[in-house]
Amino acid sequence: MNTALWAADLLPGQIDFGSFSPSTGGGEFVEVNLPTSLISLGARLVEKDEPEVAQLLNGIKLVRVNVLALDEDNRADIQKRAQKIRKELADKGWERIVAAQQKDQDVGIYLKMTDKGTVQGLTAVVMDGKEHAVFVNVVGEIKPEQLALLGEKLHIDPLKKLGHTAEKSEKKSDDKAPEKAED
Amino acid sequence: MNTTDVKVPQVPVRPAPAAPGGLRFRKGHLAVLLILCLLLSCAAGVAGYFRLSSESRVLRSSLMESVGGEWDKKFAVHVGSLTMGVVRLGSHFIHLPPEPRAALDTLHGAEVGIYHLREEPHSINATAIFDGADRAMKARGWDRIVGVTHERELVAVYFPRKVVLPSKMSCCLMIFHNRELVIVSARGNLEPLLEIARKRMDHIKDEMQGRLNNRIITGQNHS
Repeated sequence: MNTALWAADLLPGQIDFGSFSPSTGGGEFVEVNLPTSLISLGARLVEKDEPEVAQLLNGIKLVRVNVLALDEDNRADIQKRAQKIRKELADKGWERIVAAQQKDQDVGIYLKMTDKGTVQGLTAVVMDGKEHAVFVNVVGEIKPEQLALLGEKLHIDPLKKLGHTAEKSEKKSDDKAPEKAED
Repeated sequence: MNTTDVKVPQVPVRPAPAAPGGLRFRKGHLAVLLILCLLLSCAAGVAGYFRLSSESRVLRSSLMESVGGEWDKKFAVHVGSLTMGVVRLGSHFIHLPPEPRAALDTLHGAEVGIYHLREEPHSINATAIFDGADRAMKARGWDRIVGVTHERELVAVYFPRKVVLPSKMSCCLMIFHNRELVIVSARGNLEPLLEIARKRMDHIKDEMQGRLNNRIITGQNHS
């Protein structure tokens, strides 16, 4: 799938990973691109039992997942692209909430947040040893309280904590605003 | 008497009566024509059952051209909205459990094609297959949602680019596994299936809650 996008076409919170191709060695390749319409369909399935999750899903505009098996042909190129993506995320003001390096594993999870604490995008770049690379980008408008819920559902503790922290700071700024108005 | 003043009375001229078999001739031709049209329509309809849509044909071609080799068609059938409508109408006269009923109410049209590759391919160029299929499907307003490959197996799922409503869903699927190529396309209204799925989830949730409560009670009794 041709995923080369112009900068102007990217949604806030969207990262252009470029296009990935299956390795010539027949290794595993997974590519998922979920648009808003299909995500909304999932929201309709759970809205009765879990309205908060449905609301969270309705705020998500795009989900992209790429899983690639690494071999001698593509390992160097994929590692280089992963480093380039991480640098791009840092340059564009994405906040790194998880940075873990253990043995051959290298995990980085990044958030793009607005001033009000709303999350516009979540990106994960994972190099699993020398065998697999995983790229994930979730784009949408996720409120701080929904962030904690997302962290809980995905079992990402830093995300849960960040959600609670963002929620608290949002409440503090809301409390300060009326005081300023009185002054 | 002046001969030039003689007036010949004008007799109204009636058209010559038609030959006795003429009217029957026209009616006969019309009947034959109608029967021919009916037969042609039936033939076209029957032929349509074995002709896949352009999207399915494009997916099939993308893979077959890339992989090469000789292919045998094992099965190819297309069931359109008219046939499915008749089936749905007929099914209401018989008692069906909720799940098959929901499945019938959901499906408005479907087609399946199964093809067999005679010899094992040397390799599968998944990039070429995806590129060709993506380009052709994009021209028809479809985007690939899922693409998976591993060794000599490949799965691709396509959905229409336009806003997807549960009441008007369409999907195309291509699977290549063990020298078998399967192309599936379906369209319909997902609402009946969504309703069944929600009820199932409620049931599972209640069941799990019941088991959890039992465990808590049992644990309390032991303590």
